[in-house]
Amino acid sequence: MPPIRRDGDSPLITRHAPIDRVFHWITALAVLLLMASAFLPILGLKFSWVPLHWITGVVLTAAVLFHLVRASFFKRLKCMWIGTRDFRDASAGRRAAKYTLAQKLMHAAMGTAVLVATVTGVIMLAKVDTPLWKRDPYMLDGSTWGVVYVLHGAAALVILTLTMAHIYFSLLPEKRAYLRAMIGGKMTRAAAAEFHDPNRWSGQRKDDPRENHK
Amino acid sequence: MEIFRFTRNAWGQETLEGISWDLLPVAFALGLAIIVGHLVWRALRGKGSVDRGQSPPSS
Repeated sequence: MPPIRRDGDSPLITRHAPIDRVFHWITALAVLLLMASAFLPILGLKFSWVPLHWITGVVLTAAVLFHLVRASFFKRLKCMWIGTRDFRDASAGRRAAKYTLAQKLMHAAMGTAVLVATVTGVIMLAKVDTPLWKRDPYMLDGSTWGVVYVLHGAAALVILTLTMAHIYFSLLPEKRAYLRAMIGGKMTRAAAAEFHDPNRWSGQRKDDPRENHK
Repeated sequence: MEIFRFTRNAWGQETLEGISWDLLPVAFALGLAIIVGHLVWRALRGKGSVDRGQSPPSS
């Protein structure tokens, strides 16, 4: 793999729209707060974790719903879809379109885990008294609650593992362009061309026929 | 190490309560293993490319 060129005079291309970056960082903060409020009490740090956990959970749920609508109707779902071509390209060392196979796999795994945690978390809100609703712990029978709690806990553990990996990969020097793009939205054309075929992802708007082309 | 937590309901029946928090260190260790494994792979790959006279991965 050739070394990454960091030529600052390369034209910048847009990787992430401002709204997508706001979504990402809200989600990131929410997930970190949810993990802290869930796991720190288990590790012995006692505090009133329930209000922080359910309020942050509602924020994450709203963010996930927003992303589902935006990704389904205003973006190209195909650019995140994992197909056989992704595996063929990765094994042959060919460059990807907008997202590499590793990025798609991370998105699929994290997305599935967050969806499971969110859906089960919304169900579990029935057990919390809030200013907006009264708790109803008898909405489900005991064994069904157990399944909901198992799914929620399992998803949380998967999210912990994936978050560690995600943060690690985002901090690697050779992947730093992606982190900068998630902060400022742009990356240099040269940095993009390192892992992305310019003929399949031009960095232009989605109405560009080359954008996300399979 | 337990996989699940169980409790007893008002009728004394054993019911599922959730996932066991014994798995929390396992999830953390798995994350750490991914990081360490990749660091080792990255270092070996860099060493291999130097041995073959290629540029190591930029870092």
